[in-house]
Amino acid sequence: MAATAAISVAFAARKLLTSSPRNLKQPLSLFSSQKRSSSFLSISSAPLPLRFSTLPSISATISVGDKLPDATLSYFDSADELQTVSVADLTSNKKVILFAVPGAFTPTCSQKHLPGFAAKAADFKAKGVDTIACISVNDAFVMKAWKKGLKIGDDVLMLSDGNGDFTRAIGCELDLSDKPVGLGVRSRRYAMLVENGVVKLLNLEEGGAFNVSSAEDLLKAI
Amino acid sequence: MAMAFSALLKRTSVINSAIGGFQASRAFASVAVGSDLISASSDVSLQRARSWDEGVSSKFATTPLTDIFKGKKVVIFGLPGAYTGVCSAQHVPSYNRNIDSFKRKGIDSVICVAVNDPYTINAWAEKLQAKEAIEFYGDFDGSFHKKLDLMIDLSAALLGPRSHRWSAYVDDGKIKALNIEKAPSEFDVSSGDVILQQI
Repeated sequence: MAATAAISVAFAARKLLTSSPRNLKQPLSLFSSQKRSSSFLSISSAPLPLRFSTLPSISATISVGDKLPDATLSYFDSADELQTVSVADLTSNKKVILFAVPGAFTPTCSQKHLPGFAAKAADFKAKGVDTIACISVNDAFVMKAWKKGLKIGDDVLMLSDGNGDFTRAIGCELDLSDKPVGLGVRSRRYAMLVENGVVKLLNLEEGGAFNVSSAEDLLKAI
Repeated sequence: MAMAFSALLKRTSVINSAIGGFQASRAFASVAVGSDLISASSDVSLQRARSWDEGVSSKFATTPLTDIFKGKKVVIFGLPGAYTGVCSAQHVPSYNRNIDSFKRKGIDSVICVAVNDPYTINAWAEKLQAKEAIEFYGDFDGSFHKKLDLMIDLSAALLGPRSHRWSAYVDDGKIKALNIEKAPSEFDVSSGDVILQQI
């Protein structure tokens, strides 16, 4: 389902890129200007509706041996440019540590989880890890500001799963919508080792607990 | 396929103008001048910007709209997202620098609200050094903006559901002035300078 969404997005993207700038400013009859729902990108000639954030997919939780589903993540690079990367490009032919936090600017994530991985980056590199990435259901602007505030260096790539598509595709959602904390649907905390796109090691927490997913835990296991 | 998408995202201005094109005939919120904001969005609360520790000690209390609006003269503005370009560089500063003028006109509070969690909004407000002048609130699940029909889907920009850029002058819960940008990337009618003239 993530692949379908990716294709739909690319289709829309190509449409937007090939439209002349003049067209983009006009209300095009192709686009229904009345509906302000997420289907505002649906094009009459395209049979695929574009509903990203409301994909009603029920995915089994990822486990060791699974290939990671594809999804698009975003981040700000060192030149402060907004970039996207597919999970496939991020993980193919590489050894990647991927760890997820429920939320930027929340305590365990800020004080222990992220700094822990930043501190152990050299140790992970020594064990042949190519990339260490932190992923959260926050937008890329927030991830960048959070990283800057904690003075995290470029050893950890801060990835935004802005619409939660990747988190949903691997079945790791943490639904805090009815809790007064004010976080909505986020990701469960986890740390995984991914080799060429396949999960080799997975330490998945219940909710936001912090028992098995620290940098130390993962370093011991790889 | 991924490259076309990343090329698109590299030009966020393309997205913004695209969204502007879709919304060129931006219609209306469910409220208008004269509406009662409190009854239009009753049983909705906002979360005051706070650190996690403050949240714990307040038992994650929320603020009902009546507390914010009843019997008060309030200037409120909403924006798509903390830490994003126009919001940080122009929108908030246009209210921050006008705070004395607002007070002179009898405004009790200036409120900024966005579909973000209260911890993110708090860190952002502190970064902008705007917390003294402006009260920041998070509408984390969009319930406030949904009631006012001011939500916009920015999933194409990987931002998810957000709010439009808007401002309002509200007196004892009644909307006296309401400004909504045609596109969230625009910054004309919703600035602090504009609404200062409308009070």
